Amino acid sequence: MEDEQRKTEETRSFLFLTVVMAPMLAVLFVAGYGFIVWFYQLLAGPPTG
Amino acid sequence: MHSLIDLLKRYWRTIRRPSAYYSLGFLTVGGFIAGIIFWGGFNTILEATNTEVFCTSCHEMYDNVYQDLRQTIHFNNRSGVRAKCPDCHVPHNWTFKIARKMQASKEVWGKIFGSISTREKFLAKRKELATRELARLRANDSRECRNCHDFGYMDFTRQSKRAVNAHSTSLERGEKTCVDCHMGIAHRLPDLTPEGQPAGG
Repeated sequence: MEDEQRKTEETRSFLFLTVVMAPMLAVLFVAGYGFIVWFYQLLAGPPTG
Repeated sequence: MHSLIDLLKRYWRTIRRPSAYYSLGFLTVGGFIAGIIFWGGFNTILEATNTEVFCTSCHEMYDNVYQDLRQTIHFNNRSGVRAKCPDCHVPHNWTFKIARKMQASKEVWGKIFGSISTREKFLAKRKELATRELARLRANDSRECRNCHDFGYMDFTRQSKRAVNAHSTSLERGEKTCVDCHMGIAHRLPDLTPEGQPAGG
């Protein structure tokens, strides 16, 4: 592979992972955790939150 | 279609193999800094959704419950300490706070479909909403009240006789919780009489 292209791909990959994917996954995990706690509260009794 | 799959394959390979152009130091520190910026932004947004300005930016909240609050001691009082919406309605503990934020997706739904978009609709739904919030506070032993009102620091000598009678018995033993007696202290209390029973019964 040409060096210029490889460099471009590495830059784009790094930006994608740090700016888009990791933040999105983090938000999804936190939101998912919140929903799990909520649904647990629905099953286990009145939402105490 | 083929070129898209080729593109994804190429990038998958790039992500999986060691970088040829970026040092390990740059990638680690860069990721770390991006993480700091993300977490700061996340908490800033979380706090922004936890302000009275945010809550009352919808007319449903501003016209109804906020106007109620303004009449009460939790808004206006001699010492100038006041309660804002999230002080009572959003748990302060992180886990329960996040769960409550997710429950708010139902409120977004209600906003979009206008479930309390007029005063009439709000009044019709008020009993259901109040009952739900009171049930929540009963279930968690009035945790949000207790963020400010700490039983351990109550000076019975400065309370009225009637208050001491209730606080030193039922409240202390945990038989009753704050909202069992103190209802309608921050908003007008709707008629909570169960369906089919005469009002005031």
